Amino acid sequence: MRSALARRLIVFFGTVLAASVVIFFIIQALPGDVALTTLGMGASPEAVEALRERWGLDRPLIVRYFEWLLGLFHGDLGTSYLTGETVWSQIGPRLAVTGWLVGLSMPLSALVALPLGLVAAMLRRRLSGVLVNALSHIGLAIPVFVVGTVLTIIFAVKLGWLPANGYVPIGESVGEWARRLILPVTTIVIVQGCFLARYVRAGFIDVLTEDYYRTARAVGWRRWRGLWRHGLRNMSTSLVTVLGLQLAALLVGAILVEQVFVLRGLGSLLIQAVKAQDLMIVQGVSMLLVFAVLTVNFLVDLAYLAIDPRLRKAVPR
Amino acid sequence: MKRFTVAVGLICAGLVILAGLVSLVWTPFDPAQIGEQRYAPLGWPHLLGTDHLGMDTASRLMVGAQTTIFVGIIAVALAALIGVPFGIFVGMGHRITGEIVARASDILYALPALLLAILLAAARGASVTTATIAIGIATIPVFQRMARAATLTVMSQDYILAACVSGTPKWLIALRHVLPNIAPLLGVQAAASFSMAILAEAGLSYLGLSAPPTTPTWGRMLRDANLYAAPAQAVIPGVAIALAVLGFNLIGDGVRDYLDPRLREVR
Amino acid sequence: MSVSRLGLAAVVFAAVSVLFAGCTTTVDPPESSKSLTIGVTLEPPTLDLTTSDAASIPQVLLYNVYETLLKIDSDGQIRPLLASAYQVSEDGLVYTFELDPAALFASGTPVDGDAVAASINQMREAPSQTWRSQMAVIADVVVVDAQTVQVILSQPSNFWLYSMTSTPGIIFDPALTDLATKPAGSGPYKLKDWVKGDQIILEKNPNYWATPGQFETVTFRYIPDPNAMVAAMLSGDLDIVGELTSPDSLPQFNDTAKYTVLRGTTNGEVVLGFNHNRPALQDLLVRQAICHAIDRQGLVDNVWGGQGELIGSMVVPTDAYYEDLSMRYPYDPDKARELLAQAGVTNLKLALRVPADAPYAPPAATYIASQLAEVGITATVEELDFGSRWLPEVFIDGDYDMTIVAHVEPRDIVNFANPNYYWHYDNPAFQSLIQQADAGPADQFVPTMIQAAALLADDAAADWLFVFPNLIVARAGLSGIGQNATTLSFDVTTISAKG
Repeated sequence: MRSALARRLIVFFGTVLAASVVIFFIIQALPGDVALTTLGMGASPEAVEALRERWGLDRPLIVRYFEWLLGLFHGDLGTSYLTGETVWSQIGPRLAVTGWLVGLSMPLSALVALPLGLVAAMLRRRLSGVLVNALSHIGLAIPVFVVGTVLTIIFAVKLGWLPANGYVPIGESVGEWARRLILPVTTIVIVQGCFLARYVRAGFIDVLTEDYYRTARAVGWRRWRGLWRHGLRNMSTSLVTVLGLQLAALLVGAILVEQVFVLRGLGSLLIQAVKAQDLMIVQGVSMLLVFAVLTVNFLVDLAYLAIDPRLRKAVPR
Repeated sequence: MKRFTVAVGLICAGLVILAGLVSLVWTPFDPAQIGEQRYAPLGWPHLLGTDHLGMDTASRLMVGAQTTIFVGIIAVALAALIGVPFGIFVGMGHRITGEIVARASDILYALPALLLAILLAAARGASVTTATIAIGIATIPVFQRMARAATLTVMSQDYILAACVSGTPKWLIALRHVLPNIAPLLGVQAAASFSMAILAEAGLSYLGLSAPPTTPTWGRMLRDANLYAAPAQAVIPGVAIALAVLGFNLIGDGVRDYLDPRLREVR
Repeated sequence: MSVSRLGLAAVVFAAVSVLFAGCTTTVDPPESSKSLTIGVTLEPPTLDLTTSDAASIPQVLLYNVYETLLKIDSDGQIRPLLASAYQVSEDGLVYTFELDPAALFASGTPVDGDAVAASINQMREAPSQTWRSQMAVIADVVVVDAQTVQVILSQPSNFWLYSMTSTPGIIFDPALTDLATKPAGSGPYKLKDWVKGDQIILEKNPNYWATPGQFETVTFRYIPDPNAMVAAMLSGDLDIVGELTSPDSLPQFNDTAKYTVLRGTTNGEVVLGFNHNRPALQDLLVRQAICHAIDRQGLVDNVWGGQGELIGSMVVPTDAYYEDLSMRYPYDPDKARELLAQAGVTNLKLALRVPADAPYAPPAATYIASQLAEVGITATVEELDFGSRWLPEVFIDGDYDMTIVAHVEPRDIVNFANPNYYWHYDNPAFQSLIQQADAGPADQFVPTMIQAAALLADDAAADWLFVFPNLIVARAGLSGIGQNATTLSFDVTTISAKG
């Protein structure tokens, strides 16, 4: 057990280190130059050189890499060239926006998907089930930003019930915060709900073919009840896994919704930083995201290791 | 029922492919010609009206279908051609190299597809090609993992063991036994990834990370449309994207259900 | 049982939605007289305007947070601001500024001679070449006393005084240490918060030394997407759309009971620039042919919703030396073909490399390419990312034949006198006219500049497509918004709410 753990730890740190190399050198290889971009049409070769010197960009790449890596060990993601603020201080508020957006939408999506999936599975040979299934198919096919735009036009522009876009931190005004999150959250719930509903439907259909379900039916359990009981238990693990995967994807993937509703989350920070060539931010955010996903993978791995002793023998995944 | 959905899928996807093919030889108007009338209503001679520059929307929609198909094919091909061999390789059990490939795949999986697209667009300029490559690269781990899992199942079959014992070279086993066995599964994944790629490209277009302005692609047409001056010009490419995605999704679903005997049994 | 549970879930969900919807009625609309929210498109990359000449920085800070010795009003006239008066010596070399004794920084310290001299000297050493070159004419800055500052020029300069009314003339609070995030000046508003990526909030400066601002807070919200901007205005979230980048949306704001639409001009000349280092474009006949081949009115109609005046030289209608030169090269494809034949040019191929992110450039390029094709010129349009490719390749390395950029700085006609600027336009006659206008007597400035502008047009040094319009939508009841943007500032100091 201990050796397996140690081995996994070494592999984990090796992977993180490799990721830092990949991220740093890919990002530094991008064309363009923060000094030039900042000076804009006020640039001259001398001015660009002077600014590069001021920001320490004239030093060799490898030196800057190790400096950055050293910072990473201390949890320091670096400092923005443009504003001189730490990357962490820029991430904080963005993470709050994305966090609320994704954190509220995911459970709500699951809540919507469960009954929809159940109906679609149970009544799959009746019109209602077919309709639900067709709807989830269609919902999945429409680009999320189209859904968001349509909601904006209906509820903000035509009806005037809700603000069209923007964000107010929860600490400033809870009511305003909620009002501004309704449309974006609903947008994600519609699309994610359709996506999850199809998983749920497939899961329930799986259950329908299982022996224990047939047995339950044979002893006189009513269809819905059996399906709900057994199906849900059967579903929950795979649903949670899917939710987890989607959660990671949405941290950056929510950018489309953020764009429609002018919310400033992690994804838009990335795009902005690339446009301004503020590579420290690009590097920092990328590293943080990759580290987060790798850590989750690692922890899941450990969990399996704890549950299943057979895995303690080193086997490549 | 199942036949019906597959038929719907085939019709949707067929329409897209047909439009793209026809546009190679004929479009109602020159799709890049700035016309006299901006925001012409739907009708004659502009069947789907004109956009903010007076360009014929029907023609641009047809040319856009080419891009849609291109994106799907290239992204999926890229992902499959790299992901599948590596997946089989890892699945057939090479200790150290397998481990390295798996970790590399982990890193790639952890990198958000969007980040790849942003970086590629920054490096090579935003274009349909960079967006497609980014989507393709981001899809590699999906194919890699799927191929590995499927290979593991195949490898546990007796006849493979027999082949191994009889000294058949590994690459031959991979080619003769593993690949044909996992091919149907990969086909299903390809259909699903195809529609995911179309959606992803539309999203990247919306963010300005794919086709440059005035290029006739569906995502770009959506982004350039003025919702208030001419909502139809936003609805049309939106519907086109939805039809294409729906089409390939339904086909993928149909094929999967056909392959999965358990599902057939209940039906 | 299960069905009813399902039903329950639906009811709960509906109830939650109703609860949320209920919030609409409980939240009060923002008190209109206390706060002002302005929607604008581009966020500043940094607030350090000595380093970056991004127009988005003075848009927020100039006149609102930072003040200058003198200011330009919306009619283009120079007015006193921090300096209550100024004298120019006979020889035009010594400018003596009398500071307003009441003038205070927002921090409460007086605006004195030392602060003024330090600020001017800081701009002379600014990283940005734009400011450095505008201040290069200064030989020395002398603090006479706390209330008086003398600036000594190495040669007389009429342009310099104009420069002092905008970014290079800004007076910084000496206590200011962090230009990039904590600007501090003497304006009626001061920075309250910069929510990166979202908004910049200004608050009233309680120590303001003259007529105070009308609002407790002024928020600049950054909304790059034109559709989102329109939606925000229509849903009542904004008081002002500071720059409407989708002119096609104007009909949405036709209701005069709810909205006021202002249509003015800016300093932004949208220039089809020629690379004068390219042999083909060194031929005057070819340049004139290109100008004749383009239907500029048609271009404005197609690309910018018909909003935007035609100019014909690097001068905008609010400049004192403006003359309408828009018909110098009327749209005439036959004439264009004739000129090309005369020049002996056939099968001309030009690379039209434009910044992809400028909303006007790609469509204008498409339009121009299709019109040039009519007269037998093949223009290949290429869209480049502004920061990573356009700046290094086109602006610095000069790797292009033609490009399209809006030049938004005031009085940027002088750039044509700099042969090292990216157009590489090298015309000694023009350079000497600009030199004369700058160093000559003040009353000769306007006539000489008119000559210079006409020379530029005659020489077809570029094709000036149109002036960027100042399209502003405000909710009814707001007054004092400048019709024309004569500076880069979105000047909120004059805005007030009637009700």
